[in-house]
Amino acid sequence: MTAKGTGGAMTAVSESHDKKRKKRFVSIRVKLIFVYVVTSILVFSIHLVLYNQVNQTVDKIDQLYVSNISLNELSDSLEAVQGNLFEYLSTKSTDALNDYYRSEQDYVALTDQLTESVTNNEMLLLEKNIRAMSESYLTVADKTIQDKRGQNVEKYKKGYAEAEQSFAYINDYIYTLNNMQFQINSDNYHVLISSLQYLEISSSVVLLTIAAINIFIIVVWTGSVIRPLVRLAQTANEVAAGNMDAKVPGPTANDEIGVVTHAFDDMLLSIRNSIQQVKNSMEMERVMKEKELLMETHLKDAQLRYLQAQINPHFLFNSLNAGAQLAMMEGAERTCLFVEKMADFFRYNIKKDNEITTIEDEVQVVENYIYILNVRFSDEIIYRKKIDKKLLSSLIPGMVLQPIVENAIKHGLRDLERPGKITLTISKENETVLIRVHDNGRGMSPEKIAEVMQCATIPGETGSYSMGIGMTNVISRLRLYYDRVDVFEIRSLGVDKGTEVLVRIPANFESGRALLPGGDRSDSSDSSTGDSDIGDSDIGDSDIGDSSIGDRENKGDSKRV
Amino acid sequence: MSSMNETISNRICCGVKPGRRLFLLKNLNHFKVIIVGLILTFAAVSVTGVFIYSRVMRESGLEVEAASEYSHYYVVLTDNSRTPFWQSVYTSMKDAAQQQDAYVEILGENLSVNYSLEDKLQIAIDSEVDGIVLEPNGDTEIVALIEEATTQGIPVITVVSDEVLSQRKSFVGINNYDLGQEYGAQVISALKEDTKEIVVLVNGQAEASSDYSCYSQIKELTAQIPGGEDITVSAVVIDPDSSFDAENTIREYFVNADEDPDLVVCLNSVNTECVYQAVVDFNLVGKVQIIGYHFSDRILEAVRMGNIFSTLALDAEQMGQYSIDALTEYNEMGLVSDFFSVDLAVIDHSSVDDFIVNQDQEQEQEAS
Repeated sequence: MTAKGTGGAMTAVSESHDKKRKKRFVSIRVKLIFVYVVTSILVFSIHLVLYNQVNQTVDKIDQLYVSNISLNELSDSLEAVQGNLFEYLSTKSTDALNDYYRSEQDYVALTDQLTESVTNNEMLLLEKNIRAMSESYLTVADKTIQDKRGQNVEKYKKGYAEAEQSFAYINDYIYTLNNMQFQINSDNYHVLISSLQYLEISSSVVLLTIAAINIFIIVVWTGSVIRPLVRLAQTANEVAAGNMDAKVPGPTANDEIGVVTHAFDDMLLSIRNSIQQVKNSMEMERVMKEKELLMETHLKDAQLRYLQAQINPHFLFNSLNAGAQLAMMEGAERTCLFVEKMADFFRYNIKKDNEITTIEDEVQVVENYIYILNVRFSDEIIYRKKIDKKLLSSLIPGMVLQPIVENAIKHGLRDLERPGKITLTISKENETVLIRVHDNGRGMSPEKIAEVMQCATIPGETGSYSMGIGMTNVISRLRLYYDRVDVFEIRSLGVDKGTEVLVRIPANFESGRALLPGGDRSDSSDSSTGDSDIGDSDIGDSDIGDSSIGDRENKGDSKRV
Repeated sequence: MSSMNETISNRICCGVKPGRRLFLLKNLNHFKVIIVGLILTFAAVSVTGVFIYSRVMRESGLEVEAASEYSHYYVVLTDNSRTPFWQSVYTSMKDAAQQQDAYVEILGENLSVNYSLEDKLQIAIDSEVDGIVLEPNGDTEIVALIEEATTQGIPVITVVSDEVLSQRKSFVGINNYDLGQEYGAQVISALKEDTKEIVVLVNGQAEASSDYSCYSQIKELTAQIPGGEDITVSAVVIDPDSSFDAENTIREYFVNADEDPDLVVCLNSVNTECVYQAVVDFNLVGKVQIIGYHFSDRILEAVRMGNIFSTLALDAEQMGQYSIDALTEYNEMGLVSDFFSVDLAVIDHSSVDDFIVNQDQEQEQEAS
C-alpha cells in the first residue's frame, strides 16, 4: 500500500472511529447506579402493589363488622325509643318525654343512613323496609304520645299495641338483616383470611421472581462490565509473553474500561511502530557499516599494493636525507634538491595514515613526482598547472592525484616520440571543484575507458589494464568517499589524441570524513609543504626540459648508482 | 500526538471484523431485548395477578355487586310460598316485574319469624310497598288489613282465591264456580262402582272461602249423578295457621278413619303431596284414588303411574304475569279490571306425557 493510500484509509478509519467515540459516554458508575435503580424500582413497585393489596384486605377486614355494629346501634336505639315510649305512657314524666324525643331523634338519624331505594339486593331491600317501617312506627308512636297527652286512654293503648307490634316487626327485620350481614361478614372474613394467605404465597413467589430477575440483571450487567477487564488482562498477558500482535477481542463499551482498552490498543500500536522504527534504524546502520567496511577494505588494499610496490621507505627516506646532506656538503645543489624532492615524495607516501589531505598537498606530491621523473628522464615531461589558489585548502582523499599523473605518464607518455605534456588544472564550477589531469599522450579508446571505469565498479578487480597502484582503487575510493558516480571521469578523443582525467569533488564536502579511519585535516596539513610557492606559474616550463625520458632514466640510473 | 493516538486506536478498533462487530451488536441488542422482555413479563404477571386476585375477591362475594334499582316494589303474601305452584308463579312474576321496572319478593321468606298472613300484610303496609299480591286464606282480619292497605294507597291484588268482600283491586285466578265444576267433573270421571266415600280437604274454617265453594260444588255434582245419593262426600278441614298441620291431619285421618276413603280431593299442592305420601305409606295405592291440585315432578310421576287420577293445574305463568299487569295497570291508570281469568289444565294419565314435554320445552326456552 502506498503512503497516500494508507493515509486515506487511516482517515476513513479515524472518521468512523470518531463517530463511534461520539457515542454517549456512559461511565461504570452510571451503569452501576442504573442497575441499582432499576432493580430497586422493580422491588419497590412490587412492594407497593403488594402493600396496597394487603392494605385493602386489612381495611376490608376492619370494615367487616362495622355493618353489624351499626345494626346493633340501630336496634339499641329502637329499643330506647320503645322503652322511652313505654316509660312515658307509664309515668307521663317530662324526663321520659324528653328521653323519648331524644331517642327518636337519634333513631331517625340512624334510619336516615339506610337506603330508601328499591333494589334487587335482599339486604338493601331489608334496609329500605326497616326505614319505611321505622317511619310508620314513629308515626304511630308519636300519635300514641299525643293520645297519652290528651288522656285518650283507649287510643293510646291501641296505639301502643300497634307500636309494639311494629317494634317487633322492625326488630325482627333488624335481627334478620343483622344475621344476614353477620353470615356474609363471616364468609367474607374467611375469604379475607384466605386472601391474606394467598397474598403471602403470591408475594413470596413474586418477590422470589423479582429477586431472580434482579440477580440475573446484576450478573449480566456486571458481567458486561467485568468481561472487558478480563479480556484486557488476557491480552496484557499475551503481550507480556511476547505476542506484540495481540488484540483486545470483543466490543468495547463506551465507558472507563472502553477508554482503558482504547489506550491499551493505542499503546500496543505505538510500541509496534517504535519497534519497527528501531529495526529500520538498525538496518540503515548496518548498511552504513558495510559501506564503511568496504571503504576501509579499499584503503587497505591500496596501502597493501603501495607497500608491495615500494622498497623499505624508511630506510630509503633516511638514506635520501643522508644523500641530500652529502650533496649539500659537496656543493651539488641540484643533487641536493633532487634528493630532497625524493625525500618529500616518499615522506608523503609514508604518511599512509593521513588519508585526508588538502589539494595543495596532493599538488605538491604531483610536482615532486614529476620533478623526480624529469630528473630521471632529462626533463622529458612538460608539466603545466592552472590552479585557483582558493581551492588549495579543499579536502580530498590522499593518494589521488599522484596515481592519476603516474598513470598518465606510464600509459600515455611512455615511448611517445613527441614531448610529453601534463597539464593540471584546478578550478571551480558552481559548487564543484574540478581537477583536470590532461596529457597529450597516446590517448584511450572508448572501450579501454569503459574497461577502466568498469573495473572500478567491481572491488578488487584490476582487469587486464594494469595501472600500478591502481586507478580502480582511486576511482572506488573517490566514489565511496563522495558517494557519487560522476566523481571520476576519463575523456579521450582517441588514439594519440591525449587523455583527460577529471575529478569533481564538492567544494565544501565534509560528511565523508567520518567514514575515513583516522582522517584528520591537521595531520594532513602537517605533511604539506606550506612554504613552497605554488601558484599559476608554469613549473614545467622552467624545470622540465625536452630531454627524453629514456635518456633521463639512464642518466638517473647512473646518478643513482 | 493525540491525533496519532486516535489513528492508532482506530486501527485497533477496526481490527474487529465488521461481521463480528455486527454479531456482537446483535448480541448486545439481544441482551437489551431480554432485559426489557423480563421486565414486561414481570409487569404482565403482576397485572394478571392483581386482576386474578380482584376476580377471586369479587367471585367470593366480598366485592358487592352493584344492585339494580327499581321504581316499584311489590310483595307477594301467601302461606304456600314454598309450593311448586307458587314458585312457578313467583318466577313468572319476577320476569313480568322486571319488564315493568318493578321488583317483587315473597315477603317473610328470609325473616327469622314465620309470620301469619295477617302479620305479613301488616308488615307490607308498614313497609309502604307499592303493591301487594295476596292469596287470602279466608281469615276475616284480612279484609280489614286490605282496607288499611287501601287507605295507605297500596293496591292489593288477590290471586288463586278471592276475597270478594274486601277492597282488593283485582282478582287473578279462576273463579270458584269454574274450579268447582272442573273438580266435580273430575270426581265423576274418577268414580268407580264401589266408590262410596269421597273426602275433600279444605283449608280454613271460613265458609265463604274458595275451598268450601269447590267442596259444595263437588258435593252437588256427585249427588246429581245416578247412584250419587249413596256416595258420601265429606270435608276434612286443615288449619292453615298451624305449621305442618296438613300432613298431621291427613295422617291422623287415615289412621283414625273407620274406613279408608275411596277418593280424596286435594285443593292445593301441599295436600296433594301429603295425601299421595300417606297412601303410599299406608299401602293404599290402587285402593284410594286422588284428585290433586297443581303439579310437581313427584305428582306428575304419580299421575303417569296411575297413582293419582288427575290433577288440576292453574297456569302459573299466566297468574304471575296477570298479577304484575294488574298492579302496574292500577298504579299507572288508577283503575284495573276486577278479574283476570287464568287457564286451568287437567293433567291425567292420558295427557301427562304431553304436559311434561311441553314443560320441558318451556323451561328450555326460558333458559335460552
